[in-house]
Amino acid sequence: MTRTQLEIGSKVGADLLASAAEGYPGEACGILLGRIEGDRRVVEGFRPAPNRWSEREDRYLVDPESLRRALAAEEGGGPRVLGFYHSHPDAPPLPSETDRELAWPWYHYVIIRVAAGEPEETRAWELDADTGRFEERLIGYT
Amino acid sequence: MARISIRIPTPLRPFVDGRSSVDVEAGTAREALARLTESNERLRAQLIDDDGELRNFVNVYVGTSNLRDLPEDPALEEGAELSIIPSIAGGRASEVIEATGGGTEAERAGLTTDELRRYSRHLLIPEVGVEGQERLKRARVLLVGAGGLGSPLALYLTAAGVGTIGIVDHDVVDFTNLQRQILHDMSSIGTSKLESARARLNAINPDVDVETFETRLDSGNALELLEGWDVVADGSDNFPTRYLVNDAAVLLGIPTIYGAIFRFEGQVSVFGAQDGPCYRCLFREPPPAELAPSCADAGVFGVLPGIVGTIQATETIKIILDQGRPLIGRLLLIDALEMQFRELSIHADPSCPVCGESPTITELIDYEEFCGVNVDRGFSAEGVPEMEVIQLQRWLDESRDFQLIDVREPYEWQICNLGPQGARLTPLGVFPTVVGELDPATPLVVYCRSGARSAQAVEKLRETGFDAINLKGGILAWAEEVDESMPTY
Repeated sequence: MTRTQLEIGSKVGADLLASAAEGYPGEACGILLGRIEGDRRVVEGFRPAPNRWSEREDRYLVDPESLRRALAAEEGGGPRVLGFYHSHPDAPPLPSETDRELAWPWYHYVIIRVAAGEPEETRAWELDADTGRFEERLIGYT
Repeated sequence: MARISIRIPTPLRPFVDGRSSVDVEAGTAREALARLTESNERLRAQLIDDDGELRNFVNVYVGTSNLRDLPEDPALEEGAELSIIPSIAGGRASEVIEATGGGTEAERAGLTTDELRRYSRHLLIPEVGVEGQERLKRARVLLVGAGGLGSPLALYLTAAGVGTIGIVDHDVVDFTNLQRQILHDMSSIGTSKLESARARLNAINPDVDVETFETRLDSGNALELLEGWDVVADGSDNFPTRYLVNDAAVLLGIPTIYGAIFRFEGQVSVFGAQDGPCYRCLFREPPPAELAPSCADAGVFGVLPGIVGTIQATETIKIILDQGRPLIGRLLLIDALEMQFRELSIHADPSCPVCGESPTITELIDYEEFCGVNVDRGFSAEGVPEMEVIQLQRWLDESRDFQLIDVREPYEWQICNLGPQGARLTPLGVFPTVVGELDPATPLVVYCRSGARSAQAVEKLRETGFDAINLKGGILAWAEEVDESMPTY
């Protein structure tokens, strides 16, 4: 199994945390953009996306139109769509059963725990398509 | 019919030979999807549900319009583009946490946030994961001995998060222990090994429950002490305890992680596992006591218990996790001097007196007698005359006519000796060849480090007619009672 690692520049990381905290107490979400170098995925930026799951506060749905545009830009030689982030307000940054059921393989899912409005802990996960389980990916801050 | 290009997102590319787009001939968007998936069952499962509808969490765009938002299946023109866009959704759910390792919520309720962080490098390994870490937390491992082997065992099992660690020992920390017993340090010399161990283990991982049993393991208490533990790791340094631990563990159905060391050589195996051999299947009878020297008598390379104990810790954890191939039916032989690891295949013996088909040992026996060991003296020296060091000093002061023989090894002689008192070095190994040079008419006083080896020599000498006397307590007793400036080891 390939152990990919997610690398996030400290400036991008700080902005990402701030963005995740903005949605509190709702769930914030968005798209992670960057480049791929061998086994490493380097996050160079992110795009917050409107959360389209309006019925419940403890769910998120990345605005499909935002994602379509990001994927179209990727197709045209723009930054790669590496994965997605979302916040877990007052909950551990571990994938929930909902996260797992709805997850796609290959993408990295970064989960940010936001406690009382402050971003606290960030962890990254990738779905193993064979087992249907999430495996943790290391985040390297550069 | 028109030629349609369908863009495939990265997660689905493995299903289409890694391509980023696939061209199909179709008249409408739904027809195009049907073409794409008709001969590709795995891709179809990703996109289409059992009712033939587009899965909830997939969007298909026709140009820039979401197919779901269009009133009906749109007709497509030549060169039209469809894009499959994953729908990215999820959400926190306080009721269930899913992570590597699977299992149900109840099974993993036991790991705290701190523990998830402490053991994160374990959680990343599929063979451990949250479920395995939970198993470790629930596990109870009993260590026999807090010495050379017990040190790495206790340290690594504590660091790994084994929930309850029991330790049986009755010794105090001695200065000479520090060469290899890395659980202890200068500050604990003279204090109980158990208290020293508890302090060190608590400092590493306060979540681990350390239970201590300050007693000598014997036939009277072994079954009671061993009962209720999942695994016993044997770090004992003598044969009676080894047989005792084996027999008690077999009777209770507990696997034993065996380790033994001698100078530069070590052995490790897993005994008493289901369908595996036990220690008695391998060694039915103990070796003669004189061939079974302890570390104190024979010496031990200080790193060796680190290697052997660490392998024991590895096997202990594998047994708890039920992962990998434990050393069941395999005796690992380690030679640190050659740095060679060899493996012997061993089998459960149907005629084994403990774990065989018709066992003759169904309760614990007297293991010291079984091993021919006299506890107080260390070795069988019954009937051998002996003298106190004070008496030897008197003989020397009186200039009595006698021969003083040192049966230790030359390197021991270099540390300390009674050369100034007229002692002659005659190592046990060369004894038979030089015995002819000794004068049978004068008494012989024989000494070694602590009196065990010299007792054997005295026994042999007396059999051949010499008037030999053993020096009780050996040169250690001399250093303690007569010459305190003498270096000891």
